[in-house]
Order: sequence, then C-alpha cells, then structure tokens
Amino acid sequence: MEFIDALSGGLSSLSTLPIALALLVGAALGIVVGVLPGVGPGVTIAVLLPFTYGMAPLGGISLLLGVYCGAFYGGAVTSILIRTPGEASSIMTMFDGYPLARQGQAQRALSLAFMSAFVGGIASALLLGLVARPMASFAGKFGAAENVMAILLAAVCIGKAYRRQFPAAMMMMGLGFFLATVGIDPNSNEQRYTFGIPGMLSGIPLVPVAVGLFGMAQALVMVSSPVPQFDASLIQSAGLSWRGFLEPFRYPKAMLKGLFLGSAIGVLPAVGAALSTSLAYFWAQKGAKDPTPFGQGNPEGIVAAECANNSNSGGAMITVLTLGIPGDAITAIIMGVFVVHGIVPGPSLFTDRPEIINGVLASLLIINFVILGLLILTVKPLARLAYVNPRILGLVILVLGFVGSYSAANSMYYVIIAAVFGVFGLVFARGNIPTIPLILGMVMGDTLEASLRQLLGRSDGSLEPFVTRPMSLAMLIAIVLILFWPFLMALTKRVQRRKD
Amino acid sequence: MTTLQSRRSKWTWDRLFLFALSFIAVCIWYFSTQLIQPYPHNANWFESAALFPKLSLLIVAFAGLIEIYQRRHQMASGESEELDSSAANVQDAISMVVAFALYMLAVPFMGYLVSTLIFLAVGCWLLQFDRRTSLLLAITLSVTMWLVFVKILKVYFGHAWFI
Repeated sequence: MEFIDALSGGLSSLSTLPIALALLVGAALGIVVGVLPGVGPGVTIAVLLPFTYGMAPLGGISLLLGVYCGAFYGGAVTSILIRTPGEASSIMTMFDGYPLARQGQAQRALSLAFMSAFVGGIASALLLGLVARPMASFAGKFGAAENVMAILLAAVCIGKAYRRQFPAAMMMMGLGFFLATVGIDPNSNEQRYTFGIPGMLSGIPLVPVAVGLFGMAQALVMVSSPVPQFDASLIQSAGLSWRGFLEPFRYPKAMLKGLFLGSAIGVLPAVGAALSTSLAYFWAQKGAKDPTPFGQGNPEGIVAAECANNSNSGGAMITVLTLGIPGDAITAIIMGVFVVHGIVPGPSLFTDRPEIINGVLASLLIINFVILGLLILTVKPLARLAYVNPRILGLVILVLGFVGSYSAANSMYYVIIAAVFGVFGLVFARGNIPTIPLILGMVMGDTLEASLRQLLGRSDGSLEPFVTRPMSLAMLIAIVLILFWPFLMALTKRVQRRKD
Repeated sequence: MTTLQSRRSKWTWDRLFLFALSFIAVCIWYFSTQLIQPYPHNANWFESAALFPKLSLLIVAFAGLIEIYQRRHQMASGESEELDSSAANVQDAISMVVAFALYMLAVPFMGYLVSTLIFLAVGCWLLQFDRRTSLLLAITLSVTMWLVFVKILKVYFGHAWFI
C-alpha cells in the first residue's frame, strides 16, 4: 500500500510540463547517444549536468535518468546491426544479436533486446520502490562510525573492482577525497589549499570536474582517434516485429537469471552492468530451452543479457538514495544534481523530501515506457545515426562542454577547471590510470570528513566506537577481509602445497 | 649494461607520471602548515582541519608508490568502463587542446559566436574535413549554439568586441 502511495505521489510530481518534458528529452537523448559511435551516457550526463542548475531537482534527475536508461536500449542497436557495442555492457547482446541479424532476423533480434531491456527496467524500478524504503529506515540507524565505515567499504569495493589496478584506483580515490577538502573548511573557516586563488575559496566544484574528466577527455579521444570502420549492410534492415516483442516471455528462466544478477550486481559499488550481463549470459547457457548454440543467434542469450543490463539502473540508485554512496561514475554525476540543489542523499531524504524519492521511482518506471514508445516509432532512422562521424561529435562535445561548464556559474574559472581535468582525463587514460574513483572520491569526500570529525570529536580522538558498535565492526571486518583475502588465499595455498 | 638498460626501460612515462603525482602529494602534505590559513597549531589532532586532507594525501602517495612498484611489469588492462584512448593520436589531441585553450582565451574578447565559429573552423581543418563540410558545420553549429545558449537560455559571456 505504501508503495502504491509512493508511486501515485511520484506520478503526480512528474505530471508538470517541465518535468515531463525533461523526462522525454532525456529518454530521447539517451537512445540517441546509445546509438552514436563513441558517445556514452557518461559523457552526455557529464555535459548535461551544468544545464540542470536552472531546473527543478526532479526535472534534472529525470533528464539524467532518461539518458542513463535510454543508452542501455540504444547500445543494443549497434551491437545487433553493426557488431559494435554502444556500451561495454552491450557486448553480450552482440554475441547472439549479430548472428541473428546476419540470418535475416534483425527485427526479431532488436525486438527481443528491447522487450527484455524493458522488462529489466520495469523490474528494477519496482525493486527500488520495494527495497529502498526499508533499507533507508535501516540506514537511518547509522551513526557517524557506520557512515565512515560504509564509505570506506564502498571505497575498498570500488578499488577491488579494478583488480590489479587496486593501488591506482585507491590513489585516485584519495585524490578525490583531497580535492573535496579544497576551499574554506565549513567547521573552522580556515582556507585549505586555495593557493591564494579567489575562485578556489568555494572549493573545486564537481560540475566542471565531471565535464572535464568524462566529457572533454572523451571528446579529445574521439577527435584524435581514427574513424571506426564497420559493415553497414544490416543497418537498412532495422525494424521491429510484434512476435519478437512477445518472445522473451517464452524464456522466463533466462529472464529471471538476468533480472536477479542485474539487480543484485547493480547494488554493489563499481562492479557495473558489464559483469552482470556476462554472468547472466553464461548462466543462461545452462539449461537453455532453445536448441540454437549460444554465439550463433540463441534468443535466450539476448534475453538474459538485456534483462541484466537494464535491471542495473534501479539497483544502482538504491545505494545513492539510501546511503548517499554512488556505485559508479554515472550515478555519482546524477548525485551531483542533488549536491547542486543542496539536497543530501541518504536516509533523511525519505522523510525530508519524499517527493524526490517518489519522483525518482516514478521516473524510472515511466522512462521505460517512453523509451519503448520512442523506439517503436523511430528505430529505422535511429539506426542510421551509426553513420555519424565520431570526430564531428567530439568537436560538438568540446563546444558543449565549454558552454556547459561556463553557464554553471557564468565564470571562466569553471571552464578552466573543465579544460584542465579534460587534459588530465586524457593523460590518465593514456597511462591506464582509472578516473572514475576520483569523481567518486570527490562526491563521498565531504560526508566522509564530516562523519570522521564528528565521531572523533565526540570520542575525544578515540577510535573505539569503530569496534564497539556492531554494524561498524561488521563493516570493518568486511573491509579487512576484502583487503587481505588474496593474501589469505595465497597463504592457505602455500600451506596446502607444503602439506602435499 | 643489459640489466641497467632493462631497468631504465621500465621507467616508462606512466610510472614517472605516477611518481610525480605521489611526489606532489608528499610536498603538499609537508607544506600543509603554509597551505592551510591560518593553520590550526593549537587544535587537537582529531579536531584539526588538516587531518582529513593530510590522510587523503598519504593515501595518494602510498597507493601511488605501490602502483609504481606493480608497474615494473607490463600490465594487461582488463575490461572496464574507463575511457579507452589506445587508438588516440597524441599529436592530434595536443593540437585540439591548444585550439581549445585559444578558444577559451578568445571568447571574452571576440564574443561567443565569432570565437565558436573560428574554433569549429580550425577544428575541422585540424581534423582534415573538406572545405565545404568544414564551412557548413562551423556556420550551422555556431549559429545554433549561439541562438540556443545566448538568445534563448540567456547565457551572458560578458561584453566583447563582436557578438
């Protein structure tokens, strides 16, 4: 009942024209950027972020959520028709989608992918509605010690997702934490690391950093990379078939496997949709109903992968809304909309601004209907966007990045920050140094510092509360285990070898 | 001699870059007393405004050094959502960065429309588009951007010589 109330409340929040328009534009843009070569949702969301300044918070969030979800659908188009995944998470769709298209069944493959993604999106939105509130009331019991440990646990998980690059990821996370401290300290009014530059008194703003790291760096890569060549013979065959739309429901097992993995992995920080789609794909191979071998056009491969892919969005938003911890770069930038409007995501948001929570839930639901409707109407011309030269797109992103970062504060200081971080983003990418942890560190840094100082201030500098509070202790143990697990495994293997 | 050469060859630019970042982090950590104004000399360590940034800088320096040590062997980059710049031509990227920097400098003096038009034309020339495409792209895009941002969204770029 509470869920229905929340949903109807959210729907009424969305019924204003500017918010509905933002949702529609976001969904359309998302589909387009999913198809456009080289442009992903991260770049688009980063470039759009400054333009959400002048919008109502829910309008801005709906716009960015539209892009986020739309790109999942759009990515399938290029995976199936030109064997070029729009997103890393669409690779698995390509394995069976492209062979199906080569067999003259492009319309069936596209319909399968869109309907599976639709089911995934709706299920993840429902999951968000059902899980977020109880999780928030649980997180509401968190004190400063639990907040610190939750952020540290998220940081370690994010670092571990980079496997052998764990130290590099932690280094960038530390840099993000540090950059979040620049400016006037809110507790003591001391100027920290401003180097006498007046603009830096208010800190290093998140918006131009995101525009630079994700927008401008990507644009620089696009303009300096050769134009990719692809077999475009199947683009003309783009379309949809109504039978294909109903086909995913013939494979409920594959669908459930995708839904389960997509939602569960979406909640985990930094693991991302790419892993959930590949796990769902390989899981669907076991006990598949359709006799076609996987990799040669098995529809269950598409169903599992697309269900997993799109069911990530709801899971990823759960941690943002309930804990204020973003799981990846995109949700970190979406969280930027909250920050820009002075809204603090976390358990208190559910009581202070329920219209935002309900609005996000309703947005996630409605966006999927809007996207499916837009795809039905435009799939044929949409597929032709794959012909657009990515170098032209790179130039457009640079110009948009300029005006976007400038208009965020009508200041060239913002443009300079965006340009500097754009160059940094390119250098980091060339050096194989991850940049996503930097933005996550910047987003979580303020809360981490505030909670740490609050805890230490209350306990007179004692670290005891970290081990005396059960939830904090549990998270501390989890951190230690995650950090030392490889060493423990290596040690047990060595001991076993000696015994043998 | 061979050992020395192989050791030297392992000091690739990315390791040097990581070392520079770690070194800068250590320097900022060391000079924090001057970089935080006024520095809270009398505050307890746990109440100090320097605690968190100094901890963060330590993470940067320490993790950076471990990464440098790990990179003495070639590492295969795994599947991730990070930006892949392996196909990018550094020279093209640098020329575009220079063009963008000049564009940033030009806007306050020459106005948004004229600067954007010139930047797009130069960008198209750098990317070796043919003259017709370049002209069409530069004029259409700059006029559209100017109409949308300056005329409709009222973004004010200051008083300049041109529009």
